Amino acid sequence: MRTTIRDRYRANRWWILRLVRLPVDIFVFATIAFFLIRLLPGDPVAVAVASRNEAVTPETVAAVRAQMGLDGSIWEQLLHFWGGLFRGNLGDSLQTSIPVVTEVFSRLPSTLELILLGLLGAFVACLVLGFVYVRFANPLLRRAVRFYSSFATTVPVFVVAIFLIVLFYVVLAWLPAPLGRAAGTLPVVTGFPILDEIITGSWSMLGETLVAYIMPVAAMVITYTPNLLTQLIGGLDRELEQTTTRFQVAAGAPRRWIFVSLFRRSLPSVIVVFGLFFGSLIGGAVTIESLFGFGGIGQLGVRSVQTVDFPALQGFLIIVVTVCLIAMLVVDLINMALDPRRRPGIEEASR
Amino acid sequence: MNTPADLSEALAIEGFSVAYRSGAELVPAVREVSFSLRRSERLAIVGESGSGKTTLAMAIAGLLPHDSARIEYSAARIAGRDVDMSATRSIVPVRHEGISMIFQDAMTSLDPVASIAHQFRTVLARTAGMGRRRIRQESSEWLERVGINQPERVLGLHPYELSGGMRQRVMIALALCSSPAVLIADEPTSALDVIVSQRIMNLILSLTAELGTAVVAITHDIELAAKYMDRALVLYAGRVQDICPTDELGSASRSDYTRALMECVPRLEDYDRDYLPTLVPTRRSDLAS
Ligand SMILES: Nc1ncnc2c1ncn2[C@@H]1O[C@H](COP(=O)(O)OP(=O)(O)O)[C@@H](O)[C@H]1O
Ligand SMILES: [Mg+2]
Repeated sequence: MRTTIRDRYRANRWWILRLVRLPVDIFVFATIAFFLIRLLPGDPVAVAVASRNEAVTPETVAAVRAQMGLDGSIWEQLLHFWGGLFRGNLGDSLQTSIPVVTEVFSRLPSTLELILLGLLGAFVACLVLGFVYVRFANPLLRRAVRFYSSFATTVPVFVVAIFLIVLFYVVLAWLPAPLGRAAGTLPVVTGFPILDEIITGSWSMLGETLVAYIMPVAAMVITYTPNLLTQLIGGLDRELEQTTTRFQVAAGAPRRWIFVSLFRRSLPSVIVVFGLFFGSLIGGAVTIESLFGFGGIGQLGVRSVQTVDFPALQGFLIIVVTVCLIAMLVVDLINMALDPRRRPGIEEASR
Repeated sequence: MNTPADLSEALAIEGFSVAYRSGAELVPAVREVSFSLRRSERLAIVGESGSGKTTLAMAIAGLLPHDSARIEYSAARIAGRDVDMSATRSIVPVRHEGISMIFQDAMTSLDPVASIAHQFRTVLARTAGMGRRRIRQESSEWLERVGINQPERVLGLHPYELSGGMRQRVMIALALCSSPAVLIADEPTSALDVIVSQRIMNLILSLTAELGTAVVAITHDIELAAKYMDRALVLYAGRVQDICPTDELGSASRSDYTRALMECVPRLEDYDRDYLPTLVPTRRSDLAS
């Protein structure tokens, strides 16, 4: 049998189609952001003009209006906006006159680094506790794991963070003050602080950053593990009762494989929750970032709202939504790889 | 007691009892069951719903967890060797080596997210020294043995891509590819129509005959038992009512219950009968009202 390009396409259609959807989604959400921003009360042009130390003349107003892409009808503005979007140009910040794209990408990586460390830590903790839950029959141990999972979404992450600061900085003085990632200016290559410190060989700074990450990452792991664990334990309990597990045992599959299969069947809902947290933390990490003196993307969002910096706000929204869409894409792809029944175009045979 | 293993014995249990835990109480489901099976022998376990057939089978296969059941027995052997059959203390059950079990619904038995090839690999990987190619080849041979055409193509598929009959065949192949001493089949054909069910029964019997595997078939269909099995064990409320060759099931020497069970089988000449012999002879019309 010769495999044609057509066959190849058919076998891989599920992820190709999902990938192609991404730019379409981004385009739609960006357009929605465009209209949302224009529904906000207040005249951004007036704010912008007022923020300049110049005499206000109709000419300057018109010039600023044109510069902000706010002249002409809304449809002309939309075309202008789309044009910029395709060229990767989201306008300049009113506050700093720096291109919004530059503003965003100088902050996004450090936030991504922090929340990925926190969430991946929570994911690993969840896997370990889930393994303990199905591997050891000790009822006390299992009850303890289940009890911890019952803390899902009860305590906000910043409360845990403050508790850690009070305990480990104020009382025990084991960890340094929460005053940023490291003293001095961090090297910038990719924008991911740890990565850049490694690339430039700034080892002492790397040490400081790692120490500075202990509390915020621990706070995130402590806070988010129960949510992931709730999903995992629910899945494991459900899958253990399935005939599938009994049949695997009764057919003589080695235990290692049975565990792998159990986790594979239980993980999709954990990964969905992971994706939801990731999306909400892009902007939401700002509480924990400001608590520890870190800069990040959330700061830009807060600042642009406070100063009615509407190009920055629009750019912030678009980038945050784009990152969320990419996260959802990754979640979908992982889950479709784990469970082929989730791939599009597959109708499950009657049960 | 170091008697040499009896190589012709596939399975033996004596005084085997199972009770489910319900709070602090123990609710007996199987009481003092004893039987033994020789290699290639076929035993039917028959009885009404709730008589303890599945409980007995799961306990023998090692699938009952300690926290929900208590198992007691005076002797338990698989392939002539003593085996600890007290309920499993681990969360994921532990197989009693040498016993495979298949279930009524192949759709829920097969791993829904793994390809057929992967499921064979899982079971065959136990056999040390078998490389990927050998495993693939062995899997494909097994698919042929259970009557699946184009085994190479089917290996790449997932359970939801197969027809019901094919799933049943794959399940049988997976259960038998480790050449178990005993295959327990819990209502293997109840979900299938008559024709398919006959084919599947014949398939199970011919393969197990080749492998020398003993068969325990659980069924509430006493006709099926009589047709395909050597002996029948009749359970009622967890107790053995009768154990005898299947052709003696209807004979006068059997217990009243067994004969009543035989009489429940619908026959053309009884079409106007309106009671079931196993029930207290109440008119069905009374029950309905
Ligand atoms: N997990 C369980 N916990 C408690 N009681 C059970 C459980 N499973 C079955 N039983 C009880 O044990 C008895 C035998 O059930 P079962 O073995 O399923 O019978 P059968 O397979 O012959 O229909 C029934 O009374 C049933 O209610
Ligand atoms: Mg049953």
